[in-house]
Amino acid sequence: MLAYELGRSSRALPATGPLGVAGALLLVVLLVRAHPELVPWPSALLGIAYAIELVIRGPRVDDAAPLVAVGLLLCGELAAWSIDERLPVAVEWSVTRARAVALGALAFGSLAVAALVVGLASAPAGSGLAWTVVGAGSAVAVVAIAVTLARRS
Amino acid sequence: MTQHVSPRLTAYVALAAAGLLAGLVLGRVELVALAAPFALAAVVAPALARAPRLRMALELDRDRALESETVDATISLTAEGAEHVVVYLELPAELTTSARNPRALALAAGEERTIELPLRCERWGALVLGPPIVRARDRLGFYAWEARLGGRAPLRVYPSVETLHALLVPLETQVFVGNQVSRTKGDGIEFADIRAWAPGDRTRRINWRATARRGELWVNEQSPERNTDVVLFLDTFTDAQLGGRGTLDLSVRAATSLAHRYLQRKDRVGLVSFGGFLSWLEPESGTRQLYRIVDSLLQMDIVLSYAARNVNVLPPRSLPPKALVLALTPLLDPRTGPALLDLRARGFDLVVVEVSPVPFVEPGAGELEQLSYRLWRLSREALRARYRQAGVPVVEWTDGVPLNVPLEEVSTFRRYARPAHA
Repeated sequence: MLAYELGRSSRALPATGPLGVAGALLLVVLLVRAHPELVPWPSALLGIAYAIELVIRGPRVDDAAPLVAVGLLLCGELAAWSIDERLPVAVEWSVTRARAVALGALAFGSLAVAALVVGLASAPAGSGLAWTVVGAGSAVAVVAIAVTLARRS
Repeated sequence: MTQHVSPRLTAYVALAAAGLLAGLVLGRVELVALAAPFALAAVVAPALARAPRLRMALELDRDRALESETVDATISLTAEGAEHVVVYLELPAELTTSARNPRALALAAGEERTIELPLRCERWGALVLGPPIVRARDRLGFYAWEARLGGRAPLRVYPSVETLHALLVPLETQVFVGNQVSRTKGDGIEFADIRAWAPGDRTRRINWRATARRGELWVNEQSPERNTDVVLFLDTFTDAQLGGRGTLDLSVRAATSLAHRYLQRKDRVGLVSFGGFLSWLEPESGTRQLYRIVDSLLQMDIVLSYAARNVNVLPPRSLPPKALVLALTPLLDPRTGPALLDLRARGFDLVVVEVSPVPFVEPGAGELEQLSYRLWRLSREALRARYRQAGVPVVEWTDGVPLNVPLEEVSTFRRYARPAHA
């Protein structure tokens, strides 16, 4: 992830480099020290670095964005799994297999959704205030659904 | 069941919201795509999360065991749709297991699983196992449900009994039949003496050799076999410990072995726990009394107390006359000494087995610490001398030495020393 982001644009390197390196270092630290509460932060830092690089690079759409998105998600999930494995618990093979299958399904689902988002954006659907309002409403709705489900559980 | 939500899920919601907002503000679809996996995880995980219905039972193959024996614990678990269940049986320090504990397993709907845990009893004690802790999680670990299920299982681990070749013989016997040859004369098997015939003596008791030699009737006298009363007097005021072993541990082991052997001889054995918490068992005989004593010993603990104690607080029946009082004490608390000397003054046949605290005390590295250590040992020597002056045999028993050794020392002491009457 870091190499991909740093290799894409030399103009953005002074801004994205420190952030990306900080994210990678944080990932190393959380893996070594086993801090589960730090798991989302490397993904967040790498995501910010990617966003900065996108802004500096210009308006051209990055077709690899779904892969970057899934990579960031896997970065967090695999780090969390790695920390879980350190607990002195004898884990049966069926449990490991079930988690791997679930993670794989989540990754493929995420890839599909992210690709759909990028694909829909490139479709000629027009623009204007109405579309912006619909987009903003959709974003708010997604977050609201997530929060509601999380609270209900 | 208590539900826990991983902070990772909250963070994913925040990341999704931030990504969507940034995408909207900057007008970049890549940022929306970046937020999509986190939004998907945040939506899918709560939607699929279901608290599992678990039933669990804990059973032991027996509720009593001896030290170093193995007891099998079985945990039966039934769940409906638990993809990741961690079962953990918390073990007290007295028990160890070679099996894997905790254990994570996956259960299909309605499936029943059993977990076998062989538990090795490392040390005596009255233990309570369970309830086991069960923690169920969803597949990705966003949600967890935790509970203690399955009930408790009591387990009594009895101390192993040391083989004692010889026991201390009490100076006086009681009136009931036992295995101890009495000093008095009466009906019995052991020959005691001869005396001149008196009206009422039975013909079969006539010693014909003595009669022929003396020209008049002489009869044999026998010593009857009687039982004795033994009171095990445990000093539980304080304890010296090092590395998991201590003086109370040794006292309990010694008391168990002594009670076992004396009760085998048909003697009556009582128990007095003299410390912060006072308890006693009146002398009785039989296997039932052995279990009562050992059960009482398992509950024994050091209770800190500043209350002054003397033997007056004990009921008279716990210390019957002519009883042999075997005191097991580390001689650390100043309240024990006067109580024991008081017992001696009341005419009890008293023996003090000093459970030595010396192996459990580090001398220290500094000069002052070394000096205080030597002074402490000298003061203990002076205390022993006080007991000996009162005619009380005091023997030091150190960890690792068989209990036969101090008992033989007491027998030797008694062979050459006459009891002093205080």
